[in-house]
Amino acid sequence: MATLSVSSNTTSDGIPVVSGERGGKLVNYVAPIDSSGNVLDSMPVTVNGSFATVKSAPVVGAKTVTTTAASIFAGSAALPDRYAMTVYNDSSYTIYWGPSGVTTSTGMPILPGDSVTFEFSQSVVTAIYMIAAASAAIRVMEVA
Amino acid sequence: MDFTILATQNGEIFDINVTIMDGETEILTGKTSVCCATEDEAKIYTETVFLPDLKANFKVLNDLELPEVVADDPSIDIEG
Repeated sequence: MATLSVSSNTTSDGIPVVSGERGGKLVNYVAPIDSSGNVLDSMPVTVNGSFATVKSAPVVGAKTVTTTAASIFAGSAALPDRYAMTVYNDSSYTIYWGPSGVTTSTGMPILPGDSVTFEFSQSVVTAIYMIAAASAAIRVMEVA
Repeated sequence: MDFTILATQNGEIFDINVTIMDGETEILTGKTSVCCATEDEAKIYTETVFLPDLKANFKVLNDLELPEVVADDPSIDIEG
């Protein structure tokens, strides 16, 4: 267990510095303070760009990419908090992916028999659109 | 089993919400977005692509009757 105390030291901005012992070592750090002015022991940390582990069953589906650019997902809607989606081109046509205005002239191609895995930030809802020159069958898998 | 389609324009895309009911019971809802020019195009996409895909993926929709899909015009030059 850590023993912590608020010292008389402050940063140049007047923020108190916490001194204490952790693991047998003396530590000093700028104190996180809650809205009531209480010094908090643990510093809240948000890690961006890391992969979560799979927390629920994957969703899979057979879908169709057509001449109308449409958002792609495996189920009846994009899986909430998805962090990865894999699309396999199960057709004999090249399909193209990109943002909402993607066309067969601008999109990134996925050749017949090829697959692509998209990695998402779970905090940002991002749609992937796909289009093809003819109806093309794909398989989609999402994990959250 | 019936379905309703709600297409809402959001800039260059249409957000589509579909609800499939069996009598008074909601069986499934679906949500997608498509890039097209008109609401009619969005609804046609929903009836001819989105709903058939849902039916293919969800056995609970086996009894859902959909509009007949017209085959692609073979005269269109398609990429192989």
